[in-house]
Amino acid sequence: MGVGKAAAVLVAMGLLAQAQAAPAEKVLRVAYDDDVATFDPDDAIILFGLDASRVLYEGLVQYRPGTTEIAPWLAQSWSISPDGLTYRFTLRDGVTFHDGRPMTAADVLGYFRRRSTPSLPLSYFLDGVADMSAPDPHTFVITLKAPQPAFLDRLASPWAPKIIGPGALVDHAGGDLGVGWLGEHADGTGPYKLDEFARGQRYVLVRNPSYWGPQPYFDKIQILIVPSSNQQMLMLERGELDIIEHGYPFDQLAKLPPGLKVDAHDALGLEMAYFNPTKALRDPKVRKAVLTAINPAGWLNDVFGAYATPARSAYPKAMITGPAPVAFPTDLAAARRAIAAAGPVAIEIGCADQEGPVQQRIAEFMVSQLKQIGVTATVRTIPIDQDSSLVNDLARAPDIFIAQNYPDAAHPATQTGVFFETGAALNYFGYSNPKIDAMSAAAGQITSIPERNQAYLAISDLLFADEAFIPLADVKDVIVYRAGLVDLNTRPALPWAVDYATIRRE
Amino acid sequence: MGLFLLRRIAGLAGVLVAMTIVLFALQQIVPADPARALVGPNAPNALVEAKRTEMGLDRPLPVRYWRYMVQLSRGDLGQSILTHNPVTTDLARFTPATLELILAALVLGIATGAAVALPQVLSRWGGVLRLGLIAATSAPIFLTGLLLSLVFWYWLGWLPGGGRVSPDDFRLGPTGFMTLDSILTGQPRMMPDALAHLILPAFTLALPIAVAIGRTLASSLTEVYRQGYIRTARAKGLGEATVLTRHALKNAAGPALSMVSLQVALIFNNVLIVERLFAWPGLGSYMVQAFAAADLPAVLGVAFVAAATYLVVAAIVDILRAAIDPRLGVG
Repeated sequence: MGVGKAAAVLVAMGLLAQAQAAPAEKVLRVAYDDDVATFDPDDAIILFGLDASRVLYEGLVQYRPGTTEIAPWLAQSWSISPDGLTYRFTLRDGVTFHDGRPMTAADVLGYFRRRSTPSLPLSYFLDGVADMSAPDPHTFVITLKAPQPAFLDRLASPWAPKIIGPGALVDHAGGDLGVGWLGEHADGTGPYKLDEFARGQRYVLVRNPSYWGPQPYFDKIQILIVPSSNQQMLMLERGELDIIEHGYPFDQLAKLPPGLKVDAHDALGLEMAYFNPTKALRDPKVRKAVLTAINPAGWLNDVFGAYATPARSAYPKAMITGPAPVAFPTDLAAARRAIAAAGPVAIEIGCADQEGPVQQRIAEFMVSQLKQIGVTATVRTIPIDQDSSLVNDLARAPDIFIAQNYPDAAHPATQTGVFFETGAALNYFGYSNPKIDAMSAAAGQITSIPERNQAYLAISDLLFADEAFIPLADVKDVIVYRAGLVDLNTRPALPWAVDYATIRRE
Repeated sequence: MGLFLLRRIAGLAGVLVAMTIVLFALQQIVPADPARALVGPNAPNALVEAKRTEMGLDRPLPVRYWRYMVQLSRGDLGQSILTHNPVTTDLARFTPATLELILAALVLGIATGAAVALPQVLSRWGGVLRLGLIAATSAPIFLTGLLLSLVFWYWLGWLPGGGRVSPDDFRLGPTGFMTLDSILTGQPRMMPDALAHLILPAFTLALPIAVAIGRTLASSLTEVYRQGYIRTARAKGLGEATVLTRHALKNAAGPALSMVSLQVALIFNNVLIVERLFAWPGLGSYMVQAFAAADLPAVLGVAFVAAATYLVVAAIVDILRAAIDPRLGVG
């Protein structure tokens, strides 16, 4: 063998050895339908992006996987004063921010002060806080103006305060509380760091070697923006994606291609119909007839297959499990007679522009069932940014609005406060019942969970009796992923998200 | 020429002002709530009201419009509700992707249109070719795109199915065009990757352009070939290629060029669909998201870019037509 050949063989062997020595990078590839507004935990309600947000930033407490129980996170323990006003959190040792600075109670206090700034959209999570302090480097104290048994749930919510480091809040404050900088950067304490934020294209998270907890399995999380759900499905099938966390069509789940698996878990997304009491549904007999026709028993399986069950109350099953499914009237003949007596009845069903074609399909089934009792129904899609304006013009609003919404947290007070109370944000048709408001105020102060749940179920019964809020279905959160992935650790209160800190390949 | 440009700029300003008025009026009619979109669906109404005041949305429409126009006169398009960035920053980020796609589609469309126009006129297979093209574009563009994607990405695996570049360490350069920046920033290995990503969306966009240009050019050429000067040229013994390039094409190109200008206007509609279909991170994707978030500053910003691009292209086409056919004159 000539010297040249020998040298070539040596170089080749060296390269081979190098290639063998460098382990393949472990990458998890996921897709979002749309860009996230920001990963800044204080600046926007996001749905896509919660999975990434919770491994960049961490809060004081979190929900335990698969449950709505509250578990430690950056606070390793906490105590609540007997009067329910003072929450004392003992912070975990050895936590550092992504820029390497150690986390202290003063940093937590500085962050919470930022969160409570009224100009930040999610400042309302801290409404009712009277005072905050950091008496020592390991202790953070929050004092409330009045007892709030739902307060810990608010701190465990997917949109809860999550600690941002002083590197962002001081060094990059920039006159806007760091909002501009945090729009495309992150400085949290989580197991991943934000390595790339290419708006409209992709986000890349890389493992944080200084993380205080167990190191995650994947070196890198690659999040691609793929607006077409068809393309996402094909990418998953071709192995270009590992997970679709939301939007896989229900009717395709029964015939998944080989190599794909489904995780379906209870969630806080409750399918609900809201009745506009000012038009055709003003007449109680017509309302009852319409209720008979829209009974979810007639369409639930066609729309959701095995991935939804009839609602058991005005609260999601994962929040409170009602004793039995909500009982709709079933006498179609009586409904037909009622409509015939009322004269020609025409109604409009508004469906929220969400969840792909699901709302539209439900509305179409309702139209068909309403026709059977002599009601002429039409369907209108309401863009998601217009639904909260329905209350401003009830005469032009649809007679029924159907939507699947998420409360802020797993405590029933967050459901009641957002939908059912007088003047609530998503009380679409301006329903007001002083008795409900009083019952809600009383239930919100109960600390015993069984007693609390009974109080909220009584509210649910009254709401259904008033025929204002019609719970239709508990819809599962469905995640489709490539076989071999385990420890997804989903949570009912965390929509559309697996836990990147624990997921791994077998 | 100076007067022509002046007239064009005045026209552009007029169109943009009219557009802002229409969009502001639409905003008043459509019951979208940017303040609610910003703070989230579950936020208390008091917070929404505070945000509305902070954003100036509680002021009368003429006042808001005046403020917007004053800002605009300073080159400030406002702040995006969705991204929280200045709209100009977002436009600078997303426009190159769309321009790169549109330019590629125009080049492909014009070349394909010309390529099918000539056989239509010169050979008896013209009718068959025309039929084939019309069939290819009679389907809605999203179906055409989906079909191309299924065949060339999903089944054959020859081309990427979406995005601008394979996830990698690619660094964008000064132009924002992946194809150019791969060379300018010394990353030549990315050039074939960027081109491969461009083919399917650009071809989807190019098909209707090719049909429109092909049919217009074929019909003009048919008309030109009936003229006496073509008979004279042939009688002088000039070859068919010379007759085509020196006499026929030059005289038939005018209507086809006007069609290019019209296609630029139409291409913006299709870009919204094609960018979503192929996960192309351009103005179309940005616009669709902005609509969903009631993000008026962003919507206005994209409309500005689209209108300005169309008017600039129309002006260039007018100049080109005048250069080809001096009888038309500029303007």
